[in-house]
Amino acid sequence: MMEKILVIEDEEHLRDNLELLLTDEGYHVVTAENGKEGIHCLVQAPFDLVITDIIMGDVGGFAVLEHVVTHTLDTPVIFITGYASTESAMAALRQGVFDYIAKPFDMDILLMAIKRALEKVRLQRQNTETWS
Amino acid sequence: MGLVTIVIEQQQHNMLLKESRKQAFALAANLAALSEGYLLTYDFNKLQQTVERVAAAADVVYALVQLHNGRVAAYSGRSDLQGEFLEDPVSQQAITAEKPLVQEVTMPALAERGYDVAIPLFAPESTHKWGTIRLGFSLAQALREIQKTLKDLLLLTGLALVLGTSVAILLAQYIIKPIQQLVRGVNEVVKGNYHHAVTVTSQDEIGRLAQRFTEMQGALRASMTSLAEEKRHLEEANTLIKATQEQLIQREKLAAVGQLAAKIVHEVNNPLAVIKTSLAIMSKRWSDGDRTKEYLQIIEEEIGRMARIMRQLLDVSRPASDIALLQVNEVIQYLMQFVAEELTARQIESRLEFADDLPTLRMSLDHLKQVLLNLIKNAQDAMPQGGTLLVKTTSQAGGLCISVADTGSGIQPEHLRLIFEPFFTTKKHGEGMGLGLSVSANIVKSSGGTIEVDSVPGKGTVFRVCFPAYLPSREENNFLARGYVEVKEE
Repeated sequence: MMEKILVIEDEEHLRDNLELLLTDEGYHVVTAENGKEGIHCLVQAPFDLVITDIIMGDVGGFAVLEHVVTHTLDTPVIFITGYASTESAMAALRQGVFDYIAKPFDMDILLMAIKRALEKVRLQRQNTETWS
Repeated sequence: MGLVTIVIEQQQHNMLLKESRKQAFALAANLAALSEGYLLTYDFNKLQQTVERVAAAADVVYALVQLHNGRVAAYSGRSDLQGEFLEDPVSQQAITAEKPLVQEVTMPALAERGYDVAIPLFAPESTHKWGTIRLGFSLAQALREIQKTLKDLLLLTGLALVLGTSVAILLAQYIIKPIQQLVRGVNEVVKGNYHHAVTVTSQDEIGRLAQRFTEMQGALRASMTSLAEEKRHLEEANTLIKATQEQLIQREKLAAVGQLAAKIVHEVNNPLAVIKTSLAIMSKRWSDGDRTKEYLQIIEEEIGRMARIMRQLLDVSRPASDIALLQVNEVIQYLMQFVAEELTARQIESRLEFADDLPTLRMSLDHLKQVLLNLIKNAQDAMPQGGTLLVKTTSQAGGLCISVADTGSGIQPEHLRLIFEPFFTTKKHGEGMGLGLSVSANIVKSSGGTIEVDSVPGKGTVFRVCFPAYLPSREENNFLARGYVEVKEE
């Protein structure tokens, strides 16, 4: 089954490029322009992975992460940011982000992170099924 | 003294003349009493005897009796003048007198001063003048007395003057000398010399004054010292305020630059991410042998370089975290953990020499780390063939110094004065922006410190950073004694 990835990015071209590249890699990609729209998507349907920018207007990446954590969703979240700093990276990791990638990134690095995240979620779900 | 002598002499003179006058008058009165009877009876012989007898008395020059008409009835020593008239003005004045008359005259025979006393004689119970008694009294004796007294007085005055002057000189020596010393002392104080000793040891008022002066001098000296001390404190405080103000301005500037840089980096990173992902898409469209793909690779590498530059810019201009009290040795030890691996990989031996008595440093931990990492990174880059890195801390008066020494290529003398300039670099393009040392120098200066470099081309370079010590309060000291150091985990 095709894994479903939600890409939340306010930079249109980057959003489109990611959609194209990830689709090429065989993923089912859904895009959102900002955090608000992204959370709406998450409410509508389950996702295997969320890739989100941090700073986007009123509702940013941290709000999306908070939504995922408070709704006890097993979806891993990867932050991609142009404003990488030790402080924000630490805050993100503390709040349960799966990975934190600074822009501009190598696609290989992003694909690697996606693979690890999906592997994690797969194992997690497998465990849950086994125990239940 | 002279005035006293003159007054005394004058009084003596007047008294003697008065006495003489009294004596002359008494003698004349006596003659009158003796002669009165003989004159009434015109007994000229007796009158002559009487005048001779009276004239024999001391100081009497002459004694004579004249009839009411002026004829001489008797004249001592000049019986030949009996019956004669005396024409001289004194005699004329005398015979006309109705009351006793004393005239001051010059005795013709002796050229001496004297008195002519005339006493008119009247018939009993009548106003009819019978004749005149006259007595010449010499003042020679009295004047000699006066002269003698004057001489004695002058002698005494002279003696008194000599004695007085000597005593005055001695007294002056005794009184003026200490006063002069005091005046000299006061003048010295006026000139600002508070150490001039006044050596007056007498027990009198001057001695007490000198003692009080010495005390006052001591008090002045003490207050001048405390004033100087106060001034020094104020100057120090002023310098500190200025330095702190400059540090604050510098810190504000750095923070502003940091914010701006962060904003720029963020804004630039987004389009770079778009370009990079676009390139990834394009690369997929071309096969591996295609020339276009090679160019795409070049573009991608250059994008990577731009991204690195952006990251460096963010690093050097990162705003400082809060100011904290730091134990420098511990900060260095902590930092070395992070660079150890890379140093080993580059065959660089690292050595640490720490002073045990380092004072506490008060500055931003991020800033200190940034400066130290920068210096270590530079040292590392200067030793591409390996070498030794020595990080040393030393305590110095009022502060501490950290030196980072390498055994690398060294810095060319013409570059030495440029290395702290922004954007100066000798590294290859893309390896550094030339901001590290300039930002480090700014940080050091804004924390009140100094940074200097010493380099020998081919032998190595030593960077020396010195900071003023922070003097902690007692509470802070206790805190520090518990081994607390604000090192954040990363």
